[in-house]
Amino acid sequence: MTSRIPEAGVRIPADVTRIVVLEGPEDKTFFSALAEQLGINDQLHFITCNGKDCLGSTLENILNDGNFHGIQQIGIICDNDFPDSRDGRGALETVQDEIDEANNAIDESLKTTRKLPRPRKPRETEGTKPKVSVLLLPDDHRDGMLENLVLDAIGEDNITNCVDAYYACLESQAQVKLQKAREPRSRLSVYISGKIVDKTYATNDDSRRWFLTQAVDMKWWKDEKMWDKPQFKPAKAFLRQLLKP
Amino acid sequence: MYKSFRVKNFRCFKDLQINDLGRVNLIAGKNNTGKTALLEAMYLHTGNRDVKTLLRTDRAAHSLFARDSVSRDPDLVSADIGGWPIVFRDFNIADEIDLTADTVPMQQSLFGLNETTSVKLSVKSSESEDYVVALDHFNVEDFDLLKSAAILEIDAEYDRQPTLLLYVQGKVRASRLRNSSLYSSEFVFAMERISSRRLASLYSRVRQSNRKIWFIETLRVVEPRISDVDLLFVDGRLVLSADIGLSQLLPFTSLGDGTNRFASVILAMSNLAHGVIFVDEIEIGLHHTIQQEAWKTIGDLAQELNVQVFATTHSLEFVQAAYDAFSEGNRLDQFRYHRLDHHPEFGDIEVVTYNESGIEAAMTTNWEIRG
Repeated sequence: MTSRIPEAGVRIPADVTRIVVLEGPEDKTFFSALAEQLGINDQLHFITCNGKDCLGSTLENILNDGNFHGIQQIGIICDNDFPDSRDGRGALETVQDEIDEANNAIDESLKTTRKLPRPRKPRETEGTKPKVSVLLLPDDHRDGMLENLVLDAIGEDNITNCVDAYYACLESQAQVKLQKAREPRSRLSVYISGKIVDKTYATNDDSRRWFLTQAVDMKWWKDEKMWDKPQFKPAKAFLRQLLKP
Repeated sequence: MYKSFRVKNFRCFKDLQINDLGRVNLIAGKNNTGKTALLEAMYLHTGNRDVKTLLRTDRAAHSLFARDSVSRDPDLVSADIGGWPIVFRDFNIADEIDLTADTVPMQQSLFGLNETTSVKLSVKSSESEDYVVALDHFNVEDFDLLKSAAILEIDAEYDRQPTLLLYVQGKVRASRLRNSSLYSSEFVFAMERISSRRLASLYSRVRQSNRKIWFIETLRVVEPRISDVDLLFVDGRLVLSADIGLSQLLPFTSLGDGTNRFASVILAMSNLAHGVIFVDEIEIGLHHTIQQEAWKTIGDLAQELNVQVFATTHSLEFVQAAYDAFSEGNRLDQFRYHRLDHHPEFGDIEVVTYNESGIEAAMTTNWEIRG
């Protein structure tokens, strides 16, 4: 019989009052970098849940946590990427379901003192203590993910034209059947690859940076003032909103 | 079997209600959140009137509570605690201690109905009319001593008469009354080993019920070298001893803490059919590689003999091992994890109970659940 030795667990420190729940480590890196830009990183505590399907378990853990009573705001950030799942329900409905699931799952004895409110609209806070709000990516209405938002911010430049041509070539010449759900992440990686070989921008450190999580540290990201792009305004507003009393 | 328990005005608890109790309950929480106090309160509620448990203020200072060696009075316990207020929350003896439980019947329990049972503890005022009558139970003739005496009354609904405990000048004496109990129970302390005599006595009953082979096989979980156990007559008394391949059998007292505690828990449970066992800091002495198997054994025994288990722990490994053992055996429904937290707003202790879903969510995401 073997025994697993647990690693240091996920925890909510006693002084944390604002929590941001994200789907994966890439989202966490991106949004904590954004929070750093805003100078509010130390006021937010980021927790990943490894996909929306595990959001309910994560919220249940938050409800059961010893520091739950100290939490004033919870912001949930997730991709708007699967309208067909859950009987055609969208991401907001999925989040609402996961919140209900967490509220129902905790022990009966806790239900009078521990409950998460159910946001009715994206980016609007619900409830009192804690307040809960949801940010959908790339935005409230479009299917997609964080990478779509970043691609929007990049806009159109010389490299994006080449990326478009590359995917067109994949389809027409190589007969590759593109999976739409994977395309944004793939496109962004290809775009970043283009930046890596650009003598104008790339530093030695950048040559090992391939993914979105690493892109935010690259020279071109800073030189092109990516954080100032208007496409990130709603995300910035969402993080700032979490600090309101 | 306890389904819920409420404790008011006892030690650190203002008013704590713990619900959804399982067959096996693991209680965690930061220091001074009342883990041991909760076990003590429940132990009292079962009907045990062990004065040492009630008065324990410092587990390390065991000698404080040793039987008084000068008087040789078996009912006299030294207890330099300054009187009964220490047992009451914030020394408030004006309010009684109220221990109330909802129970469902355990087979052969004296009280077979689903019911709510209360045990109340109060200090009898020397002004009260029945104070002198109560003093009669103790046969104390020194009136100077009586001036500083204080009586604690433990009044259980299931008892024919209340138990009276007389505290006088650092000594406690219990009234010699015949009391009932709700459930048979045993308390395994964190800082003290079960006595050699008690171990021998518990083993005798296991041997009598022809479970020697089972006991040896169970002990091998923690000490694989044990091939036999026996009661040996040593210095005028029977001592439980083990064959671990040495030239002679070794008294259990010479084996390690983990083996002794595990043996104590197993033997106590074996003698507690339809009863309740309380184990403080259950992880002490048990290596991480055998913790899951230890839980499996405890779970099996609890189910087989209908014993309810309440244990405290600080160890995440031990919680993980319990989760693994109970989920592997497809009986997570029998296991409950409770954490005691200081509630920042109410200034009281709050309990968070993890049901099957909660413990599964926490364990599978590696969430810190010890507070």
